[in-house]
Amino acid sequence: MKHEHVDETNDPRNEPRDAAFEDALKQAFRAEDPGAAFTQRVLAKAREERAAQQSGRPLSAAAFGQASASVSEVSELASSEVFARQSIDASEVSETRSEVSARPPARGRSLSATRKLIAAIAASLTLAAAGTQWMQHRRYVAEGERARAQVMAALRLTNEKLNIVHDKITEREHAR
Amino acid sequence: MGRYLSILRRHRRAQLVGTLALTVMLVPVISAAQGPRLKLPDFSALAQKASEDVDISLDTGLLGLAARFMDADDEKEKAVKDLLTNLKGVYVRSFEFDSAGQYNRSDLDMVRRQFSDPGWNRLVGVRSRREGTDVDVYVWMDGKKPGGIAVLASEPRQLTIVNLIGAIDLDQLRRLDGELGIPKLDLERKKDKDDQEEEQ
Repeated sequence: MKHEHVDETNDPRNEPRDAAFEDALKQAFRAEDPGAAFTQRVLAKAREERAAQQSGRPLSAAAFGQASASVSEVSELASSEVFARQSIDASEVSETRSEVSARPPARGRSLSATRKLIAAIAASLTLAAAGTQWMQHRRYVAEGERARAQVMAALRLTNEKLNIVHDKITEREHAR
Repeated sequence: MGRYLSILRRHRRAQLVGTLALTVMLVPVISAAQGPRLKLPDFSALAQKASEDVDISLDTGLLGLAARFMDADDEKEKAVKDLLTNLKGVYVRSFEFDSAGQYNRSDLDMVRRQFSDPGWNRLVGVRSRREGTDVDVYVWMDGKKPGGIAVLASEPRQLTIVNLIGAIDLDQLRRLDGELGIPKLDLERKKDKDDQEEEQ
């Protein structure tokens, strides 16, 4: 069986099909006014977002949901696959933003962390100082007790030797 | 040139005379500065032979610390605390041996020589040939007041040197009678009798 290679690019029969496809694409990507209401809604959301950022308050997830819905609305206007893909990306972005907004404000968080760090350092220093004080006191007590014991031992030994002297002298006295 | 050399020689001679004079003047000062503190030799050889070795060295600071740790409610410790207020140093070296003849009398010679220094007086001494005991008590006098005492005791199996520094009141020591078992010693009266006996 002989296999014939057919080059479709130069086939004159394909020309009307390509023209129809191009027309369909043009139709799909044509500029279309979304209407004044849509513009108003987008501007309103943008203002709301800016106000929320300035006050340090997190944007509500609902607000972001609405924003993403608006973007979806835009995407509905385009029927092509490319535009649909952009819509998915936009909703992903809005999801990420809602996650970020769920965290506490960055400035507040850093202040709290600094305070915790200072408190931890202060506690460590206090503990170290108390530990050193306690060790010094223990050393002082140990030295004092040792000195006391040595004094007693020295006096006992002195007494023992003086006793020998005393006994000898007493013995001599009795012998007379 | 010759004149210069003669000036230099004269200068050197003057320096030498000055150094000698300073040395002569300082000798009594140095010997007097030794005071009641005995210089104890290094007894490391004896320490190796000894079965028990006591080495006590307490200066003013440690004595003060020891006094702070004495129980004021305990009569015995209170008496010792009172005694400590006048003490400036306590130095004791004592060796106990398992058998007799582990040390020589000459081991104490270096210590004994120090008692020939001015200031030291032999208060009392007892010797027993039968028991082989030899105990001497010396007092270092600071003018008319005692500034320290030393006890040298050599027994067959024990060698002890005690050096207490400070204005030691012998009456105060006697008051410790019963507290530490220190006997009432009429040392001065006994000393005179003892000396008379030795002379005979």
